Amino acid sequence: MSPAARWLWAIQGTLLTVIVAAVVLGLSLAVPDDDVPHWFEVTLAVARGLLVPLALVAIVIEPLWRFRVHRWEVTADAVYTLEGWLTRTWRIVPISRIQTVDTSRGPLQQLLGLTSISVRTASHAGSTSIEQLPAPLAAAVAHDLGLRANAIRDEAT
Amino acid sequence: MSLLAPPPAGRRRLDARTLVTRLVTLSALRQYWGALLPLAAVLGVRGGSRTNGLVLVVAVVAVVALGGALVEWLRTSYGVEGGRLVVERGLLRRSLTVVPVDRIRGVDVHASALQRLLGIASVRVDAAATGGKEDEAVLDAVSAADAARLRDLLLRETAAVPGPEAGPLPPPPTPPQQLARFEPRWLLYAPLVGGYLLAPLAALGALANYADDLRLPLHLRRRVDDAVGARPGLTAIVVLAALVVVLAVLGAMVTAAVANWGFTLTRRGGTLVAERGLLSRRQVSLEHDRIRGYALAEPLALRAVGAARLTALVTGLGGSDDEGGTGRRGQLLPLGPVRVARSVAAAAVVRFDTPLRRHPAAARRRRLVRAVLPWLVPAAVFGAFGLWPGLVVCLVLAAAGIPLALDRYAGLGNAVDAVSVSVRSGSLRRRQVVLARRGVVGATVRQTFFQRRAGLATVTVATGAGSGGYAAVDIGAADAVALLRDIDPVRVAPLSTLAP
Repeated sequence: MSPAARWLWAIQGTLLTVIVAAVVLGLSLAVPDDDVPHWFEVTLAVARGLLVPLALVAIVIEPLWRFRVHRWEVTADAVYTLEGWLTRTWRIVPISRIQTVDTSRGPLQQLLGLTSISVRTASHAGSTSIEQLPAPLAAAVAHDLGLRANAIRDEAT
Repeated sequence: MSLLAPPPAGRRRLDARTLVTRLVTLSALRQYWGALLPLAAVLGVRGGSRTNGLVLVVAVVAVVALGGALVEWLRTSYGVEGGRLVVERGLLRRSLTVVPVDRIRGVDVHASALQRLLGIASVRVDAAATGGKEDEAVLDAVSAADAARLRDLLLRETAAVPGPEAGPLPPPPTPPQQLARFEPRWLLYAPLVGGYLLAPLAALGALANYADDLRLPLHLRRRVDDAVGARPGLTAIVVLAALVVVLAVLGAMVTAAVANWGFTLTRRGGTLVAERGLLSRRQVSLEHDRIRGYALAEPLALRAVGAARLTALVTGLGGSDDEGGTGRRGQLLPLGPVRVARSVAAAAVVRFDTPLRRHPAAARRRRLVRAVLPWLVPAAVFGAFGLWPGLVVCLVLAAAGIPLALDRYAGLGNAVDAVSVSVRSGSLRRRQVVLARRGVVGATVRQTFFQRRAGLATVTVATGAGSGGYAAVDIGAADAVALLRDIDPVRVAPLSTLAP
């Protein structure tokens, strides 16, 4: 996976933090001090206190952690992926069961030169994706997977 | 082509008796409703005396209904030409449906009570594709004999095409062979199934609403109000409650009988044919090559009396193992003793006798924590604020979670044999799935933070049938690799990255 993936996740974490901060701080400013219930004030105070830890986790810790965890491998028989940080998910898709191979690039991904490959089978639960590859590598892998899936297609779907 | 011209060579019209059902159900009106309504209003106003106007409206409705049905009948033709089923219909809006016979996944024959009286039946042809409505060809309706002939013709041609070697099973014998037959005494299980219990209650609710709209005469309503307003005695309440229970039980049995009366499951060549229904009969055929396994559902209430439901996992039948709804299509035994369900599964799909492996003790701890903890948290909050009733309710629910959690753990299991893999889970909705190993199209191993600490993982085997994925919940992390290796030694074995 491309090292730029960390930047992508950090940017996504920043966006999330900005949205949450806007909501929390906006509420704090907009709500008058006197006639709100006590529990509401307490909740807001707690939320304000959690903003900085949230930012730290979403912008720094999660991207670095994810980058350490995420793996992918394509062998002669199957595609393997591992993703997640707190919750980890390994997926195996035998190449003979692959039905479609798509690549996709969101706006942020284009900015950073990243591409994701999604590998689909007859079952949603049996599909996977290889996230955040450098664009040229992704194109090559997707092309190769498509050809091989076609060559050893097994109709047991 | 003129309206009255006979259908092209080799094609046939629908059965003429269809006109009767069309007239009775006024189905053509739906199409012309928009035009008919203002017309009726005008006639109703202009028609001088009210009776004359009404008669005129009824006459127009009847003529439009019959005319619409006649045009539809004249302009609909079907036939099997060059390995394709062709259905052409419509006068102004014409449509031509072409289904290659080798793509036909199933042929459903359905006859409503009225159609049965007339000796006709509707045929719906299910084509292998995404499963959308557009992929179906419907013939509504042909004579019962034609329906049977068409079904045999289409399915035999399907079976004749060399299919993929994907079928998990040896080729079935050719003479028709009855695998299951619904026995009326199994209706006694019906009150234990939520769906059957709720359906008549829902109907009753709708009826009550309707009665409210009827505007009962005032004096009658006053009398009812008096009766309700008066304080009912304890006996009245008990009698009423008993009455409701008895009615609910009877209603559930009637609902189950209407749906499942005379259910039979028969093997004809390469297809399984399920037939059912008290008033309207429905005949569903499932291609054997598309069956990937079965799901044996044993909800808690049914398990208590040793009953179960059996559903086939069929590719292209979305959610075919759901309760009710579309799930009806894949049903192999709607309701019956679990012993019978197992033998039907063995005869119709695949035999699976391997005992299930238990999951590790950590899985039991996890079941307990997950059933009890969510109630202890609010209990603590209630306790802190001195809300004693809330505290008691939460504690009772937490206590009730303990036997539930133990039963959930007892339900967990997995096993692999030469051709199939099986997983079981759940308590209130326990389900055992047996899936052909050849039908597994992928696998997922998932570990949450807490599972990782407990050395557990959840393995989901994916398949193109049923709900798409079936999970072995909280299996030992090392066993997860072993299970996947057993399922598919070639492609799954080199799973090097799974570090428990």
